[in-house]
Amino acid sequence: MPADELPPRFHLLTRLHDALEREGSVSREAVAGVAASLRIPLAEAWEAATSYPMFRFELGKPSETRCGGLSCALNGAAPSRDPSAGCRFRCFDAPVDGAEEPFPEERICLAGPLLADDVGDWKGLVTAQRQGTDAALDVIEAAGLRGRGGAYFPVATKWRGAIAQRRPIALVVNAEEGEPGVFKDRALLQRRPRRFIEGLAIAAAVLRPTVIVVFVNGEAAPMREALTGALRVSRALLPVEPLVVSGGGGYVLGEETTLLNALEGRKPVPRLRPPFPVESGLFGMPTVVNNVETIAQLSVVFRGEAGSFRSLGTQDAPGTKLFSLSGRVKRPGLYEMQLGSPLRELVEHAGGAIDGPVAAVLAGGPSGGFLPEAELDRLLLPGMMHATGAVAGSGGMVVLDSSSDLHAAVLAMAAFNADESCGKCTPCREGLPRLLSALQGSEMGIGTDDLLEVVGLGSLCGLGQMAPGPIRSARHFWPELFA
Amino acid sequence: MTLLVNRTVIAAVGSVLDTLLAAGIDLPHLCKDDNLAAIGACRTCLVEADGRIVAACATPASSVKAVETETERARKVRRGVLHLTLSMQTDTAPTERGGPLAGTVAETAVRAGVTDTPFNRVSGRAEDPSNPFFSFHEAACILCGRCVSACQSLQHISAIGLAGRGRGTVVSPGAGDAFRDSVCTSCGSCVAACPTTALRPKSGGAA
Amino acid sequence: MNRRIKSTCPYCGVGCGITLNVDASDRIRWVDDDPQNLSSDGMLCVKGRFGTTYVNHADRLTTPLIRRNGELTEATWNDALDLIAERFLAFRGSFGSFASAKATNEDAFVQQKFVRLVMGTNNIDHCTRLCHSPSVEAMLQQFGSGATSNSYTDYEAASCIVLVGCDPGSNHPVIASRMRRAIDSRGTKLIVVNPRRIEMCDRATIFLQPRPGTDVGLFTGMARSILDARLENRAFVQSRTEGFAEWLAALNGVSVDECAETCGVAASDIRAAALLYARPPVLDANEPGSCLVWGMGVTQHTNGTANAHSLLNLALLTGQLGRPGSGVSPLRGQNNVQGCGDAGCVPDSLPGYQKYSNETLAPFEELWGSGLPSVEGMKATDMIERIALGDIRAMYIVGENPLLSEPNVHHATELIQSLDFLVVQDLFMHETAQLADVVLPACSFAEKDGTFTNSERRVQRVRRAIAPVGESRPDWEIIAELGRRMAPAVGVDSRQFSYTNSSQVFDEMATLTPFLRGLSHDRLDRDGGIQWPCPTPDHPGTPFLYGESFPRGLGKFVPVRQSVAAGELPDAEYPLTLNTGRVLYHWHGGTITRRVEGLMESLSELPIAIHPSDAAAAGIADSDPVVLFSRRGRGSGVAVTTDSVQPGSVFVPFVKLGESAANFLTNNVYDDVSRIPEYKVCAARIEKRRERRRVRERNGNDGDQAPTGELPTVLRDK
Repeated sequence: MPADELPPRFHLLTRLHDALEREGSVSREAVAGVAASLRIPLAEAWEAATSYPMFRFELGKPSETRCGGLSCALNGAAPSRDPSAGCRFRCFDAPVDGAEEPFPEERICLAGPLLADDVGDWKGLVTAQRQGTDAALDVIEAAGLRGRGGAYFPVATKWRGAIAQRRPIALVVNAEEGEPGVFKDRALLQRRPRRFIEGLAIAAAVLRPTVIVVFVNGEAAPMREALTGALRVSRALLPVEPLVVSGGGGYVLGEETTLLNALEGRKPVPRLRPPFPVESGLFGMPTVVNNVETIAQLSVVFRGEAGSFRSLGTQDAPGTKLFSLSGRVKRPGLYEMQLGSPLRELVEHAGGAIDGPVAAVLAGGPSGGFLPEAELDRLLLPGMMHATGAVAGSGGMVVLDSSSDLHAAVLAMAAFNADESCGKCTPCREGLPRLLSALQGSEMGIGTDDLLEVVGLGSLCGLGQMAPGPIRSARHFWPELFA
Repeated sequence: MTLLVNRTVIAAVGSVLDTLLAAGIDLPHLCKDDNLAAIGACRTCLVEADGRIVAACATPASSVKAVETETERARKVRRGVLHLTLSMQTDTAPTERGGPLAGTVAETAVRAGVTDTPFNRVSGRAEDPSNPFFSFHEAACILCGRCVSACQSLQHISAIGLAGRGRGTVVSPGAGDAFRDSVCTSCGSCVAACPTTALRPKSGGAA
Repeated sequence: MNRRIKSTCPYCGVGCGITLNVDASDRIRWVDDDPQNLSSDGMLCVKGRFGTTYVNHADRLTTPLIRRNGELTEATWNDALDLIAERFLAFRGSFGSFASAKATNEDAFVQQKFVRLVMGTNNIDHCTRLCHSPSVEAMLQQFGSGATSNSYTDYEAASCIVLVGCDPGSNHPVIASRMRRAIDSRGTKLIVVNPRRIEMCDRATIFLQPRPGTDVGLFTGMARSILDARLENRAFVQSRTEGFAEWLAALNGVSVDECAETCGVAASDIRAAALLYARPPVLDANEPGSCLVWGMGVTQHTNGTANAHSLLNLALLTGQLGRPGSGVSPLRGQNNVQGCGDAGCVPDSLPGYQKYSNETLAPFEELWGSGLPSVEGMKATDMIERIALGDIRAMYIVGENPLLSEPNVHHATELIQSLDFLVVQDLFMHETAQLADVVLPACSFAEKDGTFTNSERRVQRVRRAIAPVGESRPDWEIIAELGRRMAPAVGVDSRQFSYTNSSQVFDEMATLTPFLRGLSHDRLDRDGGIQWPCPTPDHPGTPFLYGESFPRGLGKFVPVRQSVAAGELPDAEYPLTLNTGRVLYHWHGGTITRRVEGLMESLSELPIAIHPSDAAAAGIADSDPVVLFSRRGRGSGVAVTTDSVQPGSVFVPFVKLGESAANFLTNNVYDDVSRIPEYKVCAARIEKRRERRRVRERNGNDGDQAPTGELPTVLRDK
């Protein structure tokens, strides 16, 4: 359905943000007012609104602005007293105090085809438009482009799934980027906006969506500003004007069905699949959800000579990927690497650890795992880099050195995941807090490994399924820390 | 259409759970209500399908080839999840006069050979006696979501929701209001759906 | 030992499936919904779920009562029935009977058989007179059948639903749930026409608030709008209807603006609603259709039948009936008001709406072995009014409480008091029973077997779940017993009443009623509820009517004109318009629901809804105790200030709470055709109770008394 026919509840998040802006936190009365004006039953608006950490019910305005993320902690930040203090996504400047700031160009430490230059013309778009939907899909398939949000699902397969429904399509771009230590989408949208716009226009030319939504992290003001600015100048390239929606926080929003619930003004929890979003997504429309970086890579695919995208990366995972490197590393920032590069190469590009050798790398953040120095030759590829948890994921890599407290880092990841559980399924909601207590020394009555297995195998979505990674990997490589 | 279940071919209907139950194979399940679409929240009905652990209620029978209900891994994870579920109920939970399904959690645990939980029991303490016909007791609630699904998706009243998130999630009328002050019409579908004594009739009752 | 028995809800006409959970001491402990039931789909409302405990209430009548020396005293069945038999025989020729739309089809069938065969009269009627008689009259005239044409599932397949003068959220909650489901998940458009802002307005695309009594004006305006936009369904009008030219001629020169003026709704809104109804949007693969759904806001007026005609004309003009996702639906208020009419408890036709003629009477007379009366009997409201003329001297009232349900209760009380002989058969001692000469204890729905027929024509089983309370007996059994005693005296074979179970009664009804012929208790037990017409045992039932033709052949347009809005309109002395209706937590007069603790806890005082501006003008705050007066009586309650009623209006449910009920105030004026009373409009005045006492002190004048003047009429417990 076109944007002006979307049900009013689509605007829930936007209205809650308005209230937040006005009052500093969102009150019961504010939710009631918004619910009434959007004709959302109060209990539904309330269960949605109270799921977002950003709206700070009863907490009032933030008491401090210090970052609570892992990279900052590793770089000497005192623990935050504000329970809701999360990552400020300036991990390259750790320790950080204050809100998000524009991404500095000099933090683009290694540029490949995606980051080298912003595009000047719309050559890739013209190519895609000339080819038409079927041929363009073949190009994407031949290029082997996979999603860059962390799951690496083949883009052509997803798109064909939506087109096969033969109903009006919704295109949703996920710019939530809520994983601590990851800042690649922020960098892309701020520093290479035209690259993204061209990719978006290509996606729109192929999918012919009746509605385009870009879902932006609620605290990422500079990213949103850059995005809206870019969209303003590129309106003529797009068949419909994209709607920009700011989220309310929540790591789980990276899960695409959760994101769709959020956009529908519903409680942000994962849906069951099937139906998959390409079959029934936003308000029942066939929906393609792609990450910002995935969209931007389309520009590379369609601008390159035939096969140039494929010439990088591996046969199964062609092209480059953006890696956000931070923690105890000499040159933290954004690195564009070929997929299939060894992790060691990435760390070496950044000049290695600050104090002594690399003690560990957390590959894939809270959904990934720790790798010791000896494992750095593992390759940055889709799937598990190590069976205990490490993944390339969305490209967040945090380096620990000899000054780092690994046990504290494991605790921080466990605490983060326990905090970010949406609460829908039992293993994640109940298991993660107990894993945290166990790490803190509480008696549990069941082996930690067993509980890790229950949470990892039993949980409904990726958050719970991947949450054991940091703990399992650390216990595997550094058993002495957990004795 | 058929499905290979525990190395026997049986007729496939709906979800894997539907298929198992139709074939008379007992698989513990808590959040699936005959009257409601699958919720997939309680993770009680985990089985191994084509080598992966999946919730039987949320997996279409047509989407998998072979299901094993009794692998060591499936049994272990199922037991672990039930342990976590039981740990949500504390000793202030009402023990009698529930709705028709109030005994479901306890019976399910017994059938699965689970008698107690190794975890500390932790629950919220919210109590809401304000509705003339039923009361709410958080100490018994396992957050399976059946009541909310009945209210929102069956009756389309939406008097209640699951407010908050993570461990702070709680069944909540309106915006954290009492039942009496919400748009609740006392249709009782939430009570009928509750597999515990968290929502229970004030008089009568099946258990 | 706990038992679970599947049955059908005894409250409104939706007819939800229920499973009674009964304990060893025969008490209903819990009521389950029934996901297999096609009418309710696993849903229930508060009354179905929690409202059946009245069955076990200590107030149940447990023995027959005979008035001796002015007092109702306990008696044996034998004495009571002998007395009734003897006295009824004396009043053949001046006898009337009310059947109960709460009882089963079997109860109703035996009762009308008794009245026709033994009492020799067609003076039998039931509460449809007070709710949907105008709808039935209009539908019979225009279509040839007086029932809802569609199924509930059509509300979910429709692209547009028009709700006129009804509040399904309160009165048909499970239908409201279906509609919300359609609106929320499919995007079905909703048009609400109601002077009051009802709960469903939250989901409405268009909300029209016509002046009370001006429906004809509004719907004529909608018809005009459709014609102006050329959105009439010409193919349907040509091939399926007659009378179009005459109807169109009557519309000549009538403009939408004029209609807007009449009904107080903006012309642009009338047009928008008309176009949405005539040409609903394409939502999905379903063919777009519109459902027209109405309630007592249409019918309970002196122009009720005209209102219904103007609605049905719209359906014919647009062809919005006779296919999935469309239809015309009068929402029925009582569990078996459809069935009670089907079974023949109406004065103008035999079971199956068969008008009196030699052909229709023949099979009945053959099977029953006796001649039957062939002149139309009196309608319920006329029976009451004609007590005054001596035309009615004895009455047999089964499961009805006219002294709460008739308009102008003071008047009705006087008339009923003047009867020579009154028999009341019911579950509880109520206002009418207190005036009876004999009171008979009847079984509730939970104590007997039989069937109810719901609003979508689905015949469903009612099953005995507990033993009869006290000495109570099922209505059909009591009436049959009476029939056996009286038959010989009137030359009827007493074996005509020798049924041993309700299934035999049903079989006889099915034999004599063409559209039920394919049904039996056995089949309903096996297949679940089935929608009539079901003419043969292998017929699957009929989800929607009029697909190919109408029972009368062609659908007929009936020209109607807006008449005077109401019999009594506000004036200086009584400046408010009193509108009556129902509330979720009580059922009609409240005889049953007042005996359910939780329902009383939910609503224990009569709520009098008034607009804040009127309340302020009268010095009334929310929750203040107030008294409402009309020329006929008064009622106390609690003010509910709300902008859901328009300025100048008050709304009061007709349940009796405390000692007050709306029908002490309502006006006993009637629609000419259907003889329905005008419950929806009369003039009233409101006062704050405390302030009134001050006035009394100051003037020494007792304002608490009902205004003197002529004490006018009577009945409605639906």
